[in-house]
Amino acid sequence: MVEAALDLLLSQLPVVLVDGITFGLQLALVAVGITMIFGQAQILNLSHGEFAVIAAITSALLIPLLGVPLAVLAGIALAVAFGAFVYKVVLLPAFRLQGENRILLGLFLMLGLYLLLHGYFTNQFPTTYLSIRPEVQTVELLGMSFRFSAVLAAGISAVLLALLAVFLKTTMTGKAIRAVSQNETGSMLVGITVDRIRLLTFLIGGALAGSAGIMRGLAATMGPESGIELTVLALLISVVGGVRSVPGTVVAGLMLGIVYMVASFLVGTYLSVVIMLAVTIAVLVLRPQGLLGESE
Amino acid sequence: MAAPDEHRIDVRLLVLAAISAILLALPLVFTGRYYLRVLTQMSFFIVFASAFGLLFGRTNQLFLCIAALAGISAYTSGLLTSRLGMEHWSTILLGSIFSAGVAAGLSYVANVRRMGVVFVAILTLAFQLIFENLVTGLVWLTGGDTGFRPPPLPLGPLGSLLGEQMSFYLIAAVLAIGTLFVNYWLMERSKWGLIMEAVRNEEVASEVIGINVRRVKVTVSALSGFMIGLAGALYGYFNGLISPIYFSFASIDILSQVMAVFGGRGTVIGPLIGSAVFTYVNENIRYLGPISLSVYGALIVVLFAAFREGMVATLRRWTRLVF
Repeated sequence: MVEAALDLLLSQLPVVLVDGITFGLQLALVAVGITMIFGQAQILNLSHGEFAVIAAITSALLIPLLGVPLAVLAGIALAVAFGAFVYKVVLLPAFRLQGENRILLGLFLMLGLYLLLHGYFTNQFPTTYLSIRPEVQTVELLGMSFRFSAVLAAGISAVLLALLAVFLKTTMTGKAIRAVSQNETGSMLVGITVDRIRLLTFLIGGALAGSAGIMRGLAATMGPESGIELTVLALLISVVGGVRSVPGTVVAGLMLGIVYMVASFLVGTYLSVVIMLAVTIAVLVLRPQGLLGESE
Repeated sequence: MAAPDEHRIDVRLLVLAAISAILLALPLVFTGRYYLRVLTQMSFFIVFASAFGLLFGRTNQLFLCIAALAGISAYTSGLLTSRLGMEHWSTILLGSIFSAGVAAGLSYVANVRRMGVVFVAILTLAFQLIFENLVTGLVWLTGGDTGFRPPPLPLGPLGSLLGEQMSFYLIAAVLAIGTLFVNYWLMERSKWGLIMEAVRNEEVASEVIGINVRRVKVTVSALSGFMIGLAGALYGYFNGLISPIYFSFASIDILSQVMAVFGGRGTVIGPLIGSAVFTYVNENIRYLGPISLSVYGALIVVLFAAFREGMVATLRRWTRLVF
């Protein structure tokens, strides 16, 4: 029985791998947001996956009216606006505090926000699912045929992540973002407006999570209840990748995405989640700074 | 804090005794099956909320896996009685010891690795999700999503005298009262109260004056795990069904957090006030269905943003204004 499963896996391996990479890149899009927001503001954003839900539900509702491209942009725009709202309004009490108190308050504010949004979306739009299906159905690569939408979603996600990396490495604003992550007081002293940089981080986080929601709608389906799954898996990726390191996050995203898809193929969804969580706990215990993170 | 003033200590004990008497007498006022069920539910949540409040409010350990700790004990006891035909009470004790061990283990790992509060939260949340997915996934053992019916708790002469529901209420109420007295002794009377206060305020300084911070945290976690385990196993028998939905993050952890924070975390009677208020609220927003989750979300945001001190501190301030 085990051999039969292995044979099946080997014959399906390329497809499972592509699914894993696609899923992993989407998770990385969500996870870099969590990573950056934690690095910038010490806020563990437990409602980050809901940004993806906002974008997906908005575009699903607007597609019949506006067509796919405009609806998708509107969805992402709303996720970005929501990022600003979270930073400027919801988290306001947290930024009045310092140190561990801020971390705790931020955690609970975001937990509450997640519950609020989750309850609202699952109740208000229980049957609204985003599922974008392009006309081209399959592509031939190396003699194997893959679903075009999955490959497209993976491609767009990879491009977005690469753009983010270039932005953070080369532009002045990107450098300012990294500076604030490393040392808040030091950045203030060299003339960086920390408040504006933080706001920008929330906007970028919202945009990336929103795009991840759309990509999930492209590769599979994205519904109102999928937010927490994205949040939790992305959180694991942030932990494994190091809560401060963006490249580590992408590597961890790809790794966990592939492990997740292969494991669900072999042992089913529930136990594959158990495996992923166990791996994460192991990393958390053995290497708290993450796989590629710098030790402090 | 161990107050040096003997007179005040007496008053507090009197208050606790009065509360216990009121708890035990409540079914005389609220009669009927429905009220009895709700009151039993409340008593169980006094234990859950107190344990969360003790862990979080007194030792700074944010445990987001109260439901999993309760569930471990419930599943252990339920499986041992239904599969192996073991005797109920000993399996309940066994399950609770198991929960205590797991809680102590989580706390030990977190402390050895010197994890900040956020990482303890992630660790315990991951553990909670492992538990939920494991008991849902192992269908052959646990019945998966639908769960399984454990053999009913033998209530002996108590059951034949008062009926099943009343016996369950009395068991839960006694457990809640026991938790209140243990917490009172722990926080207000023993040296542990001062030790926990020191650890909570300044860990490094506590180490310097000779407190073994790790041992304090692990011991308190084990004790809390044990109380949660006792309540969890009995909660399983009370529901008559042990399934993931009863031991999910949404159904136990969120309520316990709201109750503990509203009442005042790390206080003795705060969780009791919180449980009383939010059991009432919960029954009144039940008709809202899934949107009640949103209500709790909004509550958590508002409570933490504007009412972090909790009811006990507020009452203390009000009484000080009067006297």
